Amino acid sequence: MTDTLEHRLRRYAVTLERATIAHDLRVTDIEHDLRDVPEVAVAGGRALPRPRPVLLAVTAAGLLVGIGISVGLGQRSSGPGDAPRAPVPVATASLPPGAIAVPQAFTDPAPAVWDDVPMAAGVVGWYDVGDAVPGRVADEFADPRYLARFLRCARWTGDGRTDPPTCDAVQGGVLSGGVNYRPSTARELGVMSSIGTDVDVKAAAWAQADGSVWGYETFTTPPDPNPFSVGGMSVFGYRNGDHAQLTWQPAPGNIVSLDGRGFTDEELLALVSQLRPVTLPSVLPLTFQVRAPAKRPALVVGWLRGRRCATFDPDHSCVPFGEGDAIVQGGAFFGQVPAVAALVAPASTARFDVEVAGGDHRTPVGDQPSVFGHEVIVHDDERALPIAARLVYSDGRVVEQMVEANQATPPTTGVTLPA
Amino acid sequence: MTVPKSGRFGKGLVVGEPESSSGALGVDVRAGSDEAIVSFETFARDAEPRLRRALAAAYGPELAVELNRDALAYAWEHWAAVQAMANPVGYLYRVAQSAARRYVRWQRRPPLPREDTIDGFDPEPRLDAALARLSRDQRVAVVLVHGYGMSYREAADTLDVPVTTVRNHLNRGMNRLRTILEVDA
Repeated sequence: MTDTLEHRLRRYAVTLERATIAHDLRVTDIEHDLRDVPEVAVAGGRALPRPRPVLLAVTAAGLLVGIGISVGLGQRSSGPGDAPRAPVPVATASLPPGAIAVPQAFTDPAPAVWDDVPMAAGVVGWYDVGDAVPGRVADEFADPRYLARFLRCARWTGDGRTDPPTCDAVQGGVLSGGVNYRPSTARELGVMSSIGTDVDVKAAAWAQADGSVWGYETFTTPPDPNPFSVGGMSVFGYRNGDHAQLTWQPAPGNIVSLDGRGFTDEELLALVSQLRPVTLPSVLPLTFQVRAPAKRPALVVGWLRGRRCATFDPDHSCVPFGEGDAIVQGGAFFGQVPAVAALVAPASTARFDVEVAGGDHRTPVGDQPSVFGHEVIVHDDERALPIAARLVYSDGRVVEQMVEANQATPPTTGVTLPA
Repeated sequence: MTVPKSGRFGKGLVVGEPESSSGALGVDVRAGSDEAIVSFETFARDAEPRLRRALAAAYGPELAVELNRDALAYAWEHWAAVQAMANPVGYLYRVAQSAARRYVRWQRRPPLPREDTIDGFDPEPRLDAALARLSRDQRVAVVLVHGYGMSYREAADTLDVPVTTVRNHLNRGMNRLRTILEVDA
């Protein structure tokens, strides 16, 4: 049998699983031994987590059931630079006036529940095929909190200064979620939609068909899908054995896909004309999601208990802000927040280039168009190193700042805005 | 219609998945109650393997164990809120990711005696090196789907991302692996 890459990956997963479980068992043994020790002081400032009887029992039981592991344990190097570096003083810098620090980590156990935003009439939504296919299962958009994760408001009415505005254009949910049917174990159907996307329908069909996974990987360009005409619409299809998809664009900014297993071509084509719109709820807890540099979470802005609020984690803490406030994340300046209406359009075309400098490891983080006017990517995910950020504006101005350092305590200073 | 080579199925559809229930376990979820313990244990038995595998693919076996335990401990501490979530496993994966960022940045190390090698983790060297050259997202998608055999939906739920995101990471990761390893299949 040919040793394909998939076979090699399966073997890789087996050895990874064994090693992880073996290490977990070793940790469990040590925690058992340490349970009676009143205090464990550890270099680096992090104490050994106190195992809870429930968690310990669950973990140990889950690991041991059905598994026979007889391997030794050890350490796997997780990357270069194992030895901690000496702390480097952070260059002093003053925060912009009115700066607010947006929590980066999980500090508040209560998930933030955004205020509902009224949806304007006529916003397109999802589709289903009604009773044409039996066995409808739970709709992925039935839970507004789940739905809101994949959506954001692309256009708000009003200036958002007083009452929460209305959303009259929704974006997101590219071919994800939707209505699912399972009439039998041999037949399944998904009706998936994307809203407000500007995606070529053929490209969407290709993505939906997973062509590059199903054997098209040797193609540099996708083969054209099979075209059909249904009710004057161009419908595009791919098939792989008993699994097929039809994708088309029923309206501007709306792409729909039927994903069927166990359905014939004729059955799927007949369902196209059975499609009916399922409108979105009249209110949704929508937010703005501001584009973020690579490796950084997006800044999420919404209305919370009547106030505009910003966070980097929509399930957790949110900080109220006002127009013009500066957002600081992890001690580093993120950007200034303009009026709500301006958030949906770039505030500046400033280009910046940030380099991470320290020792012999340089990581060009790249440049990103700025939403706020300028953004600074300030840390390297892989290593804790002294970081110098060099910010280059499109007009040639260069600003160099030390924005973060390798130290045990979180950095508390930010970047001074250049004049 | 075009008939390509055989492939896999499993994206975008709810296959055998229980109906969503936002925390409607019908149990007393007060922390420490017997019912809370039982419900948490039931959840953890299902969640722990998925979480562990995703974290191992992302951060390696040693750190994955630490992060997995931290995430489950967090879940227990906030069980009433966590169990009401639509996708608690995906939420905990993000908890672990945040912990990993802090952990790596401040170079905290687990207070365990160190060994020189990990017996039992003996991957194919070329493949291991090639996986290390993928982005973390691509590596996790590749290992979860093609290594552990998760469906796109399972992987998407575990990572708390849309199915299409898993698909994109998987495609790019596999293409890059084939390029690095100079293989056609």
